[in-house]
Amino acid sequence: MTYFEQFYNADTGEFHDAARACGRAAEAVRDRADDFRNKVVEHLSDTSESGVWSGKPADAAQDPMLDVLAALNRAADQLEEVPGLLEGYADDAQSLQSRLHEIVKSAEARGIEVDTTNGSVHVPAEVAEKLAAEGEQDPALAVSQDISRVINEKNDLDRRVAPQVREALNMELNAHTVGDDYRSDANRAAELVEELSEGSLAGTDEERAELLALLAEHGDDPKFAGQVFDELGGRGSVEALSVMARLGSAAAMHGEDAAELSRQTGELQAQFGRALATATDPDSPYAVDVSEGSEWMQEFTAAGETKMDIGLPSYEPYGYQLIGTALRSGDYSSEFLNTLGTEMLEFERGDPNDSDDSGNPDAFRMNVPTDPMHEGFQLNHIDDSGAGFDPFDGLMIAMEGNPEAGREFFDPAAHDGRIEYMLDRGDWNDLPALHNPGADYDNPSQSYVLDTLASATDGAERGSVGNDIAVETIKHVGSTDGEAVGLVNDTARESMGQLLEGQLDHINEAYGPGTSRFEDEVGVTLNRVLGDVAYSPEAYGNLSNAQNAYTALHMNEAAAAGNEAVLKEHAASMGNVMAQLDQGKAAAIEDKWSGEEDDYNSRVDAVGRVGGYAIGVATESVPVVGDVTSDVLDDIVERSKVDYSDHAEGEVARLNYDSSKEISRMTEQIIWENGLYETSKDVPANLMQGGDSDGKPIPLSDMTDAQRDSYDKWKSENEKYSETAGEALADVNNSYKTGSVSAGQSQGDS
Amino acid sequence: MADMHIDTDSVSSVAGQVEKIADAMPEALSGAVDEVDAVMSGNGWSDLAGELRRGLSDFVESYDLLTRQVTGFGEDLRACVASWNETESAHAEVFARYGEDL
Repeated sequence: MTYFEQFYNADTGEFHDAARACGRAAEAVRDRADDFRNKVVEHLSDTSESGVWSGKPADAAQDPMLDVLAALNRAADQLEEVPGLLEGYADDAQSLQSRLHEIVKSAEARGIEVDTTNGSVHVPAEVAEKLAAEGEQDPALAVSQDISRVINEKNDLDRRVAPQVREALNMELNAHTVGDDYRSDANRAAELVEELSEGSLAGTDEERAELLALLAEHGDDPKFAGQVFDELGGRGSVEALSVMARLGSAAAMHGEDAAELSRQTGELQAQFGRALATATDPDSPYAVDVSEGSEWMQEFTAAGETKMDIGLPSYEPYGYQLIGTALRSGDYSSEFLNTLGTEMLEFERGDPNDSDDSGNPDAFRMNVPTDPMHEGFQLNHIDDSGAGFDPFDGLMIAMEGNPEAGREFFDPAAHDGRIEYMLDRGDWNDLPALHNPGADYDNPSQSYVLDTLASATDGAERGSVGNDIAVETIKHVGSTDGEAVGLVNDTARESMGQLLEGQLDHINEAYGPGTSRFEDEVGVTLNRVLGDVAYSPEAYGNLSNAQNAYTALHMNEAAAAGNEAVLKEHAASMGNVMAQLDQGKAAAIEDKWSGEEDDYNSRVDAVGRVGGYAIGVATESVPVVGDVTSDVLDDIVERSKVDYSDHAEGEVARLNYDSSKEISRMTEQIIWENGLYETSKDVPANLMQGGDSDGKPIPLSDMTDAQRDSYDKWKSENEKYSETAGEALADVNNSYKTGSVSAGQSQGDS
Repeated sequence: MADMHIDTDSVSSVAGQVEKIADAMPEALSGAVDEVDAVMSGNGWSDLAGELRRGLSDFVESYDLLTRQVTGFGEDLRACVASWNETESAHAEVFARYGEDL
C-alpha cells in the first residue's frame, strides 16, 4: 500500500535501472542457453554412425540433455519478460506521479495549501470564502478526492504488475519438470490421435477440440512437436492424417453438418501440418530424423506408398495423398521436402535410368473415389487449392514457400529431366469426387510447379542453380520438340510470367548485343514463351510493367553516366522483348478472344498498366539501383501507378499491339531529363527548373501545356537534339520491327 | 555392443564445455541481483519493489538448481566416457541418475 508522501517524492527511475539490470541478466542467461545448444547439443544429438557417439548411453543422454536445454531456454524466456514489465511500470508510475504534482500545483495556485509530507489539504478561510463565491463549496474535499484517486490508481498498478513479475520469475526451472511438461502435452496429443482413430466419426467433439487446442497452442514448439511425431512414428503420423480424412469423408456424407465437419477437418489438417513442419526441421535439436534412410522417414514414406483406411467402403487414398494435404500448412525444411519429394517422385515415376522400374504413373491420377455415394468427397479441407488427390500440389505449395527447397529439388545438374517431368505430369483434374470439370477448367498443378520454379529462380544470378532452372524451364516450355507438351495451360501463364519477371536481366541480355545463355533459344524458344505468356492479359500487364520498370532503371543509370550507347542498347532490347509480348497479345486476341480486344485490354488495365513516363518519374527517387528484380521493382511499379494517374492518364489507353511508341516516349524522356544531348539552340529558360538555364530540365510529365508546346517547338528547331534522340528512337523502332518479324516467325510456329 | 561407438576426445571436449557453461551460470544473475538490491533497498513507495526482490531471489534459487543439473550432466558425460568399455547395462544407468540427486 502506497501513501501520498512516499509517492509524491518517489524516484520512479529506480525501476528503469532495475529493468536494465534484469535485461543484462536475461542476455547472459540466454547466452548460456545458446552455448549449451551450440557447444553441447549440436555435437551430442547426432547419434548416427558419423556422429561423435552412438549406442545406449548416447540414447540415454538425449532426454536429459534436451530437458536441460529446454529449461535453460525457459529461464531466458521468462527473465526476458521482466525488463518490459518494469519499464512499463516505471512509465505508468511516472505518469501518475506527474498527475499528483499537477493537482498540488493547481491547488496551490488557487491558494489551497497541500502538505507534501502527508498529503493533508488546508484551505485558509479567506480562500474558502473566495472560492465559495465562485461556486466551489468544499475545495479541500475536491483536492483530497483527486489525490486519493491518483493514489488508488497507483495501488491498482502495483496489484496489476506485481503478479506478472511474480509469474515471470517464479517459473519451474527443474529440467525434469520442464521436460515432463512438454512430454505430457505431447503424450496427450498422441494419445488423442489414438483415441480419435477408434471412433466411427474420428472421436468426439470434445476430443477433437482438445487435440486441436494442443496443436494450436504448441504446434510451433519444437520440443512438443518433436515429441508428438516421435511418439507417433513415421507410419503413425500418416495414420493420424487418415483419421482426419475419415472426418472429412463424413463431411461429404453428413448433409447439414457437412460444413462444420469440413471446417473441423481443415483446422486439424492445418494444425497437424504446422506441427509436422516444426517436428521435421533438422535445425531443431528435438526434430525427428528426416534424413534419407532414417527409420522415421522410411516408415513415413512406406506409409505414403500404402493405401490407407479412411472409413469408406470403396475408396482408400495413398498415404502420400494424405501427406499432400498437410503440406499445405506450415513452413517446411528443405531437407524434409526434398527427401519426401524424391520418394514421392520415384514412387510415381520410377527410376528414369532403369527401364525395369516404370513406377506407378497412374497411382494418384486414378486413385480417386468413383462411387456415386462419395460425390463431393475431397481430401484437402485446409483451403481451396484443389481437392488434394494430387499430393504434388501440396509438395509444390510447400516448396514455393521455401525457395532453397525448390532449388535443390529442381537443380538440373542433380536431377536431369525433373523439371520437364513435373511440368508435363499435371494434365488431369483435381476436383472433388465426381465433379465434372467445365470446358475452361485447367488443372492448377502446372501453376503450382511454375510458382515453385518462379520462387526458386527469382533474381537468380547468372550461372547459379536458380538461373539454370529458369533456363531449363524456358527451354522446355518454349520447346518445339514434338515430344514435349510445350506451352503451359491458361491457368499457369501468370505463374510463367512471374518466372520471367524474375529473369528480366537475362532476358534483356538475350535480346541485346553480346553473348547470352539464351542466345540459341532467342530465335524460337524465348519468343514462343513470351508470346504464349501474353495470352494471359494479367501476365501481359505484369510482365510489361516489369519490363518498363527494368528498362527505365537501366536507361536512367546509363543516362546519368552519360553513356548514350548503353542507353540505346537497353531501349533496343526492350523493343525486342515488347515485340514478342505484343505479337503474343495480337495472336491471343485473334485466337482466344475472337477479336474482342476490349475484353483483353480491360483485364490488362485491371492489373494497373504503368506508362513509361510514370516509371521515369518514379525512378528519380531511387538513388541506388541494385538488384532490379528485387522488391525495389515492385515498389517502383506500385508508386508508378499513383504517379501515372496524376500525370499520364492517357497512357492507360489501349496499346494497339505496338509498344514501340511508349518505349520511344520513355527513351526521349530519359534523354531529356538527364541532359544527354548536345544543343544547337539554347534550351528555353521556362523548360528548366526554377527558370535557371543551368538548372535541371523540368520532367516531361510535369510540364504544363505551354511548356510542352515550348519543348516541342525547341525540339523541332534543334537539329542536334533531334539527331541524338532520333538515333535512339530509330534504334527502338528498328529493334521492335526486327523483333516483330522474328516473333511472327517463331510464335507462328507454335 | 556392435552399434556403439564413441569419439572419446570429442565427447570429453563437450563435457569440458558443459563444465564451463555451468561455471558461468551463477555470475549471469549475481550482478543483476546485487544491482536490483542496491536500487530497491530504499524504496518505500512501491509494493513491486519487494515483489521484484523476492522474485529474483526465487529465480536465483531455481537457476541454482538448474546449474547443478548442468553440472551433473557434465559429470555423467565424464563418467560415460570413463566407463565406455564396461558393460552395456552400466551405460544405461549413467544418465538415469540425472535429476535424482538434486
